[in-house]
Amino acid sequence: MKRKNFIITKFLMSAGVVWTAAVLAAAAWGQSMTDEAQAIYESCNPSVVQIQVIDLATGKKTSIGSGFQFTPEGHIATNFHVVAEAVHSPQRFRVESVRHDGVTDPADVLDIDVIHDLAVIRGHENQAAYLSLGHSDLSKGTHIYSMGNPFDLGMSIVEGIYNGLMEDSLYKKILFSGSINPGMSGGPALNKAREVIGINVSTAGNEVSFLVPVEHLEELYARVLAAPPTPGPSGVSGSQWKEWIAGQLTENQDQYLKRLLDPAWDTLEVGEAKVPGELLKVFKCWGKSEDKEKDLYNYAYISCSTSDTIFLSPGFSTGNILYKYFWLASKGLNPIRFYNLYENRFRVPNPYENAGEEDVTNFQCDNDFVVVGWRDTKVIWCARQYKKFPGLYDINLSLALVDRNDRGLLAEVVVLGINKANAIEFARKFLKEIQWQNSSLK
Amino acid sequence: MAKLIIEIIHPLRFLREYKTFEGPEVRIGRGYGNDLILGDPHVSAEHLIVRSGSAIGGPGQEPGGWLIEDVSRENGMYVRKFSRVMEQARLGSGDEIVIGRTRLRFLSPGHPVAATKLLIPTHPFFQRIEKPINTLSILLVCTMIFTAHVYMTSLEDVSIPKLASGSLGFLFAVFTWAGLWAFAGRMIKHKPQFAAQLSLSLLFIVAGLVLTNVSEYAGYALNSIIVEIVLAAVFFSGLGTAFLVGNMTLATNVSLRKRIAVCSSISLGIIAILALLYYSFKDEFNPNPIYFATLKPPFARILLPAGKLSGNRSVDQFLTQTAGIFEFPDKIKKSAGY
Repeated sequence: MKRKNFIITKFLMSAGVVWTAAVLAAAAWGQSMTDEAQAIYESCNPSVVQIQVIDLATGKKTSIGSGFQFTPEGHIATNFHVVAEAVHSPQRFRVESVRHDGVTDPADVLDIDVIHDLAVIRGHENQAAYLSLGHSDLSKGTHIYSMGNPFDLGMSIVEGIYNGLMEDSLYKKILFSGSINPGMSGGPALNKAREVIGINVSTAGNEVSFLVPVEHLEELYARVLAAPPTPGPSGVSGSQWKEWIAGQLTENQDQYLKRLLDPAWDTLEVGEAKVPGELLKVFKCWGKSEDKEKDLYNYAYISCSTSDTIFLSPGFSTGNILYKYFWLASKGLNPIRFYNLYENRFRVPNPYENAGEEDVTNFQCDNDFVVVGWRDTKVIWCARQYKKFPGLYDINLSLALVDRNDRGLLAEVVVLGINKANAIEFARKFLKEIQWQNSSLK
Repeated sequence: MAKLIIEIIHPLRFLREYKTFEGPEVRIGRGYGNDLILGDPHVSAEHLIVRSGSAIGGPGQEPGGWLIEDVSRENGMYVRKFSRVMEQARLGSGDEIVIGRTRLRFLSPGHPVAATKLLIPTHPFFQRIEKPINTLSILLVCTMIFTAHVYMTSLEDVSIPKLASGSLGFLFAVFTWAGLWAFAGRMIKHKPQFAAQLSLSLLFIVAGLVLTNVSEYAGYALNSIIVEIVLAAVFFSGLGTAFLVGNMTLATNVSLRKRIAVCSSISLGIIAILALLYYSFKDEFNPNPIYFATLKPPFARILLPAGKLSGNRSVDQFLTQTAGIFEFPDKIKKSAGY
């Protein structure tokens, strides 16, 4: 169908009737897409709402998102990041839902899942229309429809393709080939049967978007029914939410690190070193090496990281692990010059952009000469505490091989949002995994 | 009467004047008929008459000295030697009286004077570095050292002209500094001694480069940023003081004690300011870790018994010993504005 349209377009264009062609093509294209979408939009629109976070000081909205009602009792699902400000500072912000008919209704946050970026809220006035929840295990290539209110422009529906669960992601998300834009976060993604299969959450641009599988919403809803953290309609205080979030983060990193520490690690070679490689499938490593004629050294660089970021508040995210290796070999530099170069590389840490001054302390560091494998290294070990979640830290482990005049390995490990015991165990395993062999580079 | 010299000391003790008199008597007062006319309003129009002591005294009296008489009977005459107001007094050379608010000291030509205070002689070290051949050699050697330094710290392949231009920065600084001190010397001592100032500045920069390296290597080998910073501070203050004292010696006539006091307070002051800056900015938020990243070639650790003082830990020892990085002061928890 699409192809046919394209051919028609091309033919007419070549005939020179440009304007007519454009109109015809648009009409033909639109016809094929909207039949389904139009019907879904009409039947689902009453259940989909815009979520606004209202700043109590000004009475105006500070952020917007989308949401949808999924129970007859008026439970509305949205993203945690849409209502995060109201969760962190309930005394300063209030959540409201705006229905299709323009009715505004204040809502209480009932429970949140920061790991999967979900929240369940409930309005004060009940309405009848709601969407039923389906399953996220469709076959790749299925047409699905995402609804939401992009940029506060009005409720929209976007057609796209379901492309399965992201295989190498820690927190499985649905890859949706369609455009999700700011403001659509929290809106439902529906199959043709008008069942919710996922919740809009983020985009990587160019029709690469992500949905949270609906199963996580079901888990969260089960928790809302079983043990709601909300004692009454007035909601919970900021500090109670803080403990609730801290608990989720701590539990999540415990599970994650257990998965990470238990199996034997894949290794890879960089220079004379055998170092931890893709620890789990969720890690992706990228490599680069250079040996330019005018340079006085050659290097091999490998960087591995996860893409699983947990949003906590604007400007504050956590959950990533990153490690990188830099093998540097001199081409005839004397030791002093080589070490100047080497030190310059070592001096610059991985830039931390995940948190601000309100969220974390400054780093505290210690360092020593440590025998790693059988060779001498200088190891630097730094941590900073989360001010709101004192049991959690961002850590940095940096290592430099210092037993050769003309070559060396720099390694850096960054883990965000980990507790002390796990951080030390991870560092221990990481350092003990590093082995040495004869160089292939030099 | 023998020659009489009167030293007039201003009430505020800053103006001094000597007047020499000859003749049988000297009249002192505010009136214009006096031999010594004083402007002090508390002095009488005709206040004192000074007569030669030997002219008055009979046999048996000690020769010399002067007999001074207060002829005004108004504000009196205070004699310091006797610590009282007197109408008449016999004074010797060096004695002082006060009339009104003016202090007068009577001196005979034979009064002994203190030994001459000599200007600071040029130290043999400065004489040596001042010789053109030595200055030139120092300039040459130091330029080579600067060039070597630029070469060692450059991170790319550098051509000779590039190296030379790198070392020119050092030379420019040295020439400017030496020029300023030579100008000061020209103004104060009428002797610029540019060559000596130049040699001194060159030696200072080279010593500074060497000591910086010493502190870096020692800090690295002992794995202690404290060692590196303390050594750097000690070297800086010591070297800075010595160098400034040298500059001042060449350019001024200030005594050694004052030179050391001034120069050491300048260098310690700089360190104090740096320490203050460090303490005022150390708690500023920094999203990135700041760590002791110094790396030196393996020989740096052979120079010092590194194995005993620090390092060569096993991974387990290291992680146990560094667990303190997870301990944060409690106030952070309380101040969290949640």
